[in-house]
Amino acid sequence: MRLRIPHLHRVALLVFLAISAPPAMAVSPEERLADPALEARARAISGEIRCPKCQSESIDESNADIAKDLRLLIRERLTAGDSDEAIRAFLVSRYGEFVLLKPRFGAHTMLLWLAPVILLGFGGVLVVVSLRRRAFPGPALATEPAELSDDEKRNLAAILKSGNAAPPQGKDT
Amino acid sequence: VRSGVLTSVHAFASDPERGVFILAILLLTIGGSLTLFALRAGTLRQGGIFAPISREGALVLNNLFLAAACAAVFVGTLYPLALETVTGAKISVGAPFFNLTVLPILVPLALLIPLGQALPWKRGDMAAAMQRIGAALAIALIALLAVFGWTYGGPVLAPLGIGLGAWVIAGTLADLLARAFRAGTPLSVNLRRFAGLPRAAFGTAIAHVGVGVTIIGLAATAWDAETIATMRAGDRQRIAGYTLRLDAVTPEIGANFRQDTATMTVFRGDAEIGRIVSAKRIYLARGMPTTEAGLLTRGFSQLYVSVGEVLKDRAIHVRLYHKPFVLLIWLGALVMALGGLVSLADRRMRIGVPQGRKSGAPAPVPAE
Repeated sequence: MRLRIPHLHRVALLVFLAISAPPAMAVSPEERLADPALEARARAISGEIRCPKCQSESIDESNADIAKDLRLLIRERLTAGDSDEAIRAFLVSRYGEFVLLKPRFGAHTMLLWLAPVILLGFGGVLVVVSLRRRAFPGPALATEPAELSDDEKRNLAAILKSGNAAPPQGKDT
Repeated sequence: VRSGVLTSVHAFASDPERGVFILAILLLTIGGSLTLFALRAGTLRQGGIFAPISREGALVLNNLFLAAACAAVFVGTLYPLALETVTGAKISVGAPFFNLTVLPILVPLALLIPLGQALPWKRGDMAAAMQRIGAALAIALIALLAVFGWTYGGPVLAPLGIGLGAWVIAGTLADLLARAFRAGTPLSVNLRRFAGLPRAAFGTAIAHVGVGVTIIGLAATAWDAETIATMRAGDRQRIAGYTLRLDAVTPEIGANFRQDTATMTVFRGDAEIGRIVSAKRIYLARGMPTTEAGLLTRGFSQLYVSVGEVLKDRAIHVRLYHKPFVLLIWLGALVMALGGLVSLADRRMRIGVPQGRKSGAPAPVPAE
């Protein structure tokens, strides 16, 4: 990866910030780039970078000074012609993967990204199996029918003999 | 203001009252339902048999999707902690992850809502159900195409979201009407049959309409407009067909703060339609700046004004937002709750109450 920010550049940035930045706010007018396409890319990138200070916010929303620095940095590198991916890689090299609100897909996040798919698939299989089992009229009953009780056997014998159903006896019919 | 079990490092103010309120809600819903489950677990039995294509089958599918969405949020929330414990690597899981995982699970669920409602209990006929709500599909497609054509060149996915919302609403209503209105019977009979539908049917329909309303509100956020500008008194800014004129920036002193108040007049065309007052406030004790956002509600849409820095020559940095139909998100939730209340007033729930209420008893009101 190319690191193209020369020292002077950073000093200039710091001086610029020292002069121009009283308590910062999320994206202020003078930060914005003249080119709307570049500006839109800057907003899109900064919306997915976690603010190292206000960790519940992206640097696009955060009022922290570091967020403002990073927003300006992103714009500077966009103007220099870097790709979105190169800028993200640069931020990760400086601040760690922690700053990416959208974690990269890799061996360490495989389980994270696939979890919803796996869970949905697993649940789907469970549902299909259980629906099959209780389907009506089911292709196969889950349990064997219970043995007939003595009462029922007697009743059955009587039916077979007479051709008429006798009123059921016993409590379990 | 922050509130919670964990104290935020840079909380401006701690207010345990809100945390206690949220904990109370959690206790009431989770604790209450688990207690009920524990008390009645002995009486729960595996229900009757049903075919896969049935209302029960649809409810099972519904629970599958909702549980999977819940699980996605759960995994996304705890994964960074687990990963750090196991490998020491620090990652973040933020909004983009949840948008990418939860939405694809919830969209098919929303697509199935009218179908599930149109299926009868026990054993259903998919073709017959589709026939009952076929007109709704046409309405939804027309809505989709109309919105797409009207906003051509804008966001691509948002018209699909509107179409989805329209499908849920129209499908729900189509099913409700199909239950009562049959071709060949006189209108008076149909109307009587409609009035005689169980309240649970109305409750279901109302709640599902609420879901559709919320979906439309969420989809409409794609048309949010934002303007960031530096303004001086007298300056105008245009946003989403509105013109905002900054009338004055006036310093004010409060009990424990001082603030710069920005007053804006909002115009639609030449007509003045309202004012928005917002402020940049500094609490003196800790030198803590806060923003008092200004708000103007127009129908279901809202205009927000947020003042940023106040520069030396009384120029201000402002962020202006137009959020079309944003109130539908909340309205939908209220409609869903209303559906739940109507459903609770169903005969099924009233019969067997020891005091034996007469039918037509007022809807129960949740304890607060």
